[in-house]
Amino acid sequence: MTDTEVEILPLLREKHINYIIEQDSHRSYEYWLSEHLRMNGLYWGVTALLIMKSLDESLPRSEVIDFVFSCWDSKAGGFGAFPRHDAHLLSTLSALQILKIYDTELTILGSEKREQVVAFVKGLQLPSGCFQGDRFGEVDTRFVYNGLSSLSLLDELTPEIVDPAVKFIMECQNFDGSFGMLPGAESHAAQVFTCVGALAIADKLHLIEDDTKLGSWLSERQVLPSGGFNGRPEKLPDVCYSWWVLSSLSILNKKHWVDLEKLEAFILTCQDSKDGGIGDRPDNQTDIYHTCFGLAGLSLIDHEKYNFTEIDPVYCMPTEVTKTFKKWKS
Amino acid sequence: MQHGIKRINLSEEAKRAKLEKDKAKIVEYKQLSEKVFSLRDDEVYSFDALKYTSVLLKMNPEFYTIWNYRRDILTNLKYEQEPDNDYAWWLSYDLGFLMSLLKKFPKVYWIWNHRSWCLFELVKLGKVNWQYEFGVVSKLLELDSRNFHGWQYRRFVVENIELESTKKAAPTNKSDESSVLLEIDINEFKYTTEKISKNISNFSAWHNRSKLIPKIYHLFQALDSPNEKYPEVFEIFKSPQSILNHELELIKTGMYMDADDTSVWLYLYWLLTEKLFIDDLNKSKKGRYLSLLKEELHIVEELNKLEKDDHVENWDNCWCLKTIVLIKGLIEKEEKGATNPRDLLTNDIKNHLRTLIKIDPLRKGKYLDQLEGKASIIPTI
Amino acid sequence: MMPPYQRTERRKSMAERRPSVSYTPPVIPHLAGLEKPQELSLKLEECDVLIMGTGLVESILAASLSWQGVQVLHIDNKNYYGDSSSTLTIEQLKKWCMEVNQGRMQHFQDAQIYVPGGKTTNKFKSKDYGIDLTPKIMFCKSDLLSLLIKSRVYKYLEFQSLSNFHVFENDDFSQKITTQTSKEDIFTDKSLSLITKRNLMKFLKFILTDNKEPQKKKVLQESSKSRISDFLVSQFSLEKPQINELVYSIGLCINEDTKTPEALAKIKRFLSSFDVYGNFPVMVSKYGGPGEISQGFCRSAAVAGTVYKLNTALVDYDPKSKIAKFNDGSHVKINEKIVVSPSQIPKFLQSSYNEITAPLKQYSITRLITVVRRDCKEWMSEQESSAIVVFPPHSLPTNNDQSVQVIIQNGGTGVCPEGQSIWFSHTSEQDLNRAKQDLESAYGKMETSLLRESTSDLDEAFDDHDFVLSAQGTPVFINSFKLGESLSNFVPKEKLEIVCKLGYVQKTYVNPDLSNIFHAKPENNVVLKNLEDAKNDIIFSNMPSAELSYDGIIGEAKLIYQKITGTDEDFFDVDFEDEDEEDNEYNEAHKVASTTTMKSVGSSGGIVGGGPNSNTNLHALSSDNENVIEDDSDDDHNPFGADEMEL
Repeated sequence: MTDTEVEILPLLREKHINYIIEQDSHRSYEYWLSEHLRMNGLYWGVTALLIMKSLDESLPRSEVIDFVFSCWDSKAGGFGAFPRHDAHLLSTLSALQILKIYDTELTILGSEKREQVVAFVKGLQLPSGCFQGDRFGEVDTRFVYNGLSSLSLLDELTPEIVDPAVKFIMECQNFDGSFGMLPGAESHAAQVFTCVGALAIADKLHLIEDDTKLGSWLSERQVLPSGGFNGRPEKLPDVCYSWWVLSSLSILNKKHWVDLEKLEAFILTCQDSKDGGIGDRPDNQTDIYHTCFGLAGLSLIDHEKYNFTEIDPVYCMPTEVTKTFKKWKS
Repeated sequence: MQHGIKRINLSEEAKRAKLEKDKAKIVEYKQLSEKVFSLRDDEVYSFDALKYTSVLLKMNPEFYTIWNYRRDILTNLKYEQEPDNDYAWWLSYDLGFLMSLLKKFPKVYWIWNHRSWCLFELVKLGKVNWQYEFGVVSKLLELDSRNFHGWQYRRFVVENIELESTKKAAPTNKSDESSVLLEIDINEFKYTTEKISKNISNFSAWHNRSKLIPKIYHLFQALDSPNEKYPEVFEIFKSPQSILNHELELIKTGMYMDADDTSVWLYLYWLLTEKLFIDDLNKSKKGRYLSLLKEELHIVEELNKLEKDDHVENWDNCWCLKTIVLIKGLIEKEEKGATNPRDLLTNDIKNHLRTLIKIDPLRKGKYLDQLEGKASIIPTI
Repeated sequence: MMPPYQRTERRKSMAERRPSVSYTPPVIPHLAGLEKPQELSLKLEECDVLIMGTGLVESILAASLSWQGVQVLHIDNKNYYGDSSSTLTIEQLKKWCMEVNQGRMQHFQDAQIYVPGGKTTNKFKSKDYGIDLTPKIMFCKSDLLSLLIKSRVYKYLEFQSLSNFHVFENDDFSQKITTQTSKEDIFTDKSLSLITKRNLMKFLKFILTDNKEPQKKKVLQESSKSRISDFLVSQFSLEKPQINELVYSIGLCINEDTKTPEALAKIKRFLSSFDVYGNFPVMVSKYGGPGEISQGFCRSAAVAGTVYKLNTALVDYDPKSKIAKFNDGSHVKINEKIVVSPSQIPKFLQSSYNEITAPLKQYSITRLITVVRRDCKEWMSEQESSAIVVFPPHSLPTNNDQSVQVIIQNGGTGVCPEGQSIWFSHTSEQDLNRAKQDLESAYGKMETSLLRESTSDLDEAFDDHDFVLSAQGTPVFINSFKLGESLSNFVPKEKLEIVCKLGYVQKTYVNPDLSNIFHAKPENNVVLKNLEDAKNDIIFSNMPSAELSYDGIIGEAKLIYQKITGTDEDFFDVDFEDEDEEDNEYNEAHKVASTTTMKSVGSSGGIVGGGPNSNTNLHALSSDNENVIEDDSDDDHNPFGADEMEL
């Protein structure tokens, strides 16, 4: 517990850029098995490149946009994860985020698709205020965030949608101040992001009356000796929580409640020094998901130091994009 | 996403070899996907199609589109073609199929999702066996006592068992209904005790306990003669105070066993600040809450002393000291009725916060905020 | 007088019981000697390595060499497998004892076998018994278990869990091992004070910390010379009952002089073995221990091309021509080395062996094995068939210096018929008279305790201390299976019925603490001695050690392996991967086909089922993932123990 000097490894920017570009090139069996995550993967890749300020030179805009539209599910009126896959709220939000990055007005979507996708997302909200992921009924605070964020991107939020959604979120808060996936469910750091993020989108952060309690819970996620964040008490740290926890703290204006330098060091030790990319823990397999959230974490810690794009903790998109949003006021 | 998988940096040669080896599998997978997609596009809902989805889902249980198609097949099948096995039979068959997948992929949302869908379909048919599901989830939690899905699924099953049981109870008799629910919740309560005994760090179990306690208490209150059927449990639940005493005793053992365990302390914080308990304490005797706080403070300070003796540089134990700050803050509030965070900061507490900055430097920023009165040292609601 | 024995029957081993289809290499070499001992003289003209004796270490060695492409000829001068670690029937044991007493079993002496009653009163079938000459237990986290899995030899065997360890103290048994070793029992045990609970937990935490952690390293260095009990008192303020359990039952240490680092390693061995395959630390192989496992390795060796021949002894070897001559008149050229088990030393080598072992310290292991007509279920966990009983130093009326360790196994393990059990006890006491007294005394204590517990005369036996009052004021019986103190005055009237009692002394040059295996040097280990007059072509192996677990076995095998091949880096460096993958797919298909079968986990180790931790890449990729929310798959064990689970 003594204050030791933290060794901070260099950021392997070029390697990470290459790693992301190369995602599509090694077509192993596992790659084909991950089609159902491709839209999300693309969003993670685009975001990671944007953070490193190299999106335009690394990924051809038209190819990205073509891919997104090739995943349009006209039957449901939403985006699937891959061509011919069913529309789902998860992939729909990713698709909208990608399109918004390239076209803040979303004119590219066209009025017909726009209407359909709005109807699709709105249609997924249940009387409880929660959203389901698709027509088959899976509910979870993840989908509340997805729903509100999507509609916010489309500038389609209304009190009829926001109020019950917010009510539902508040039912998911636990005695420790933190949030679970459903009312009654155990607190989990990623769930905190979806709840706090959704409340921020809904302009209802004031409902978290005791933000010291929540802030304390979040700050306790940082563990030694690694300095990384875990997702629940007595669990191991994982790079992706660098985002879920730090973004939540950032929304609550409590980023300084954790040791950012130690977190930075942890994220950087999870880099693959040979092939680029970031894994969940040091020496573990890398993937695009942890690469994106590791870099997003670094951007929240100090975007200027790394010459990164500043990231918006609410939307996990660059602030230069989100500042154009018409923010919902309750 | 890769989790907990050690990185292997394959040589170029090994990569090529792997790709070569993968080729056949890729072809098979792509052909099968293509086949299933075209069946889906043609809206074919047949037993053959069902079998194809089984094979494909075994290869990739996260292929949600295929799960969707499978559900559409199941709801649209012409079961009269195979008279031996009706819709309910096939749904039960799917439960078995899912079990085999869960063994291998216990953390895939889509599998759990399909399982609850099957169960709700069976509910519609009046043929669901929630008790069996209960057995399934108990087994799963035995193997990984903190699996997130497992606990969530357990709550889901319990909720449905409750729903089913209350439907069976006489609709007019409130006490009857409470009695049915009580039995279920008491068993759940005992289950958390068992899990906690196995491992005090199982916060999932502590969490569930915090949800069950108020529920059981209120159910007992709703009974006509509460102490008949569950005398020993009623001993614990006869008043919020008796619950509190019972839980504090339990948590004390936990604190002594591992003073560095987060779960134990979080639960203690709940016990010390939950309105249900505080109101009851103060109702019974003025100042009862205050004296309880002082007793707890004493226990934590004793433990901290032991921990200090063990430490090479005689440092306070981090969690003990955090808790001491909290309890002292609560005492200040009780004694002075102070509401402003700044008013709670006695010199004593300030010293503790300064010590915490030294022994828990990760959270230095928080302690500084507290020292400056920008953040409260006790819960504000 | 013993009855004249018939032709000794050979029990079928698991390797034989299991059909070979579960393990099909492209070409199946003739399983010489395994399914049917080869009667004809050897057709082999030459081989690389000749191994004499089919004991456990030698069998592992044979398999490891032949999987590396070495041509091995593996012989045994007995007509059964296993050599000094064999699993024998009662008839075989009778013959064996006679041979021991005739001096024909090197390194064994003072054998006695007692079969009470005549054919009329003591009816049993000799073949129903599989009695290990050197019984052992296997920790779930151990190098032998890893090797069994890696080499796929586990497929020939069947394992069962063992979770009950009893320790005898103050003239009483307490079964605290399952109680105090896990956090659970420390948490719930009302007899422990909060302070003791805290101290025990501190110790458990300490022991599971990485040895490289600076603070732990420092503590370990400072205590390297101190006795473990002193260490536990000074560092963790533990008291005698906990110390006895930690040191003698969890740690299976044998005397009070055990130094802290050794004892800590042994305690850790136990603790880290928990929850590897379930909530138990130890496994035993069914139908017998080392005897069964050595046959498993012989079988693997045969698959890899080792030639087997039983009833065969070396009679001469010429280091110049490298020709070995056998008692059946055949001869084979040995290209590399000859490995000789100390129980099969040919006459022409005897004097050389005596010479090189003269400076070594010899140790005695005294064993007492009793087969009783009682299944001893009281001492075992539900659904288990084995237990351990330990008598720490000075716990017996004989004031034993060395602890007495006992493995109890009943019919459920296949070593004896249902309703009976075998008590395998041994001690490392070097004074043979004392050793025998200690073992007899321990037997007596167990007998009394067993009879006490199974008495039907409860009124006499129990008093108020055995009851507690429940919240409603009704008395509740504390623990009906307690080997309880309040019963200690109860003197049983009956005696246990004995099927067979067997005692013998075995000699070995392996130190009971295995130090000369883990730190083998030419001065302390016979394997590393050079036999110059045989041009160093001949290597002697060791007799089995007194160690109750299989620790040290792989170490010995590697030691010899290294002496033959120059390195142990490629020891069992065999890629069985492809076969495994096919297996998984097969299992998977099989499981789906029979999803409704319910099978409990735990009673038999997971490796019996699907093969542990076989992470295919597909598994790795798909085991957890989602878009916005990441599930925490942050435990390094398999989530849900997925591979082991059968529902």
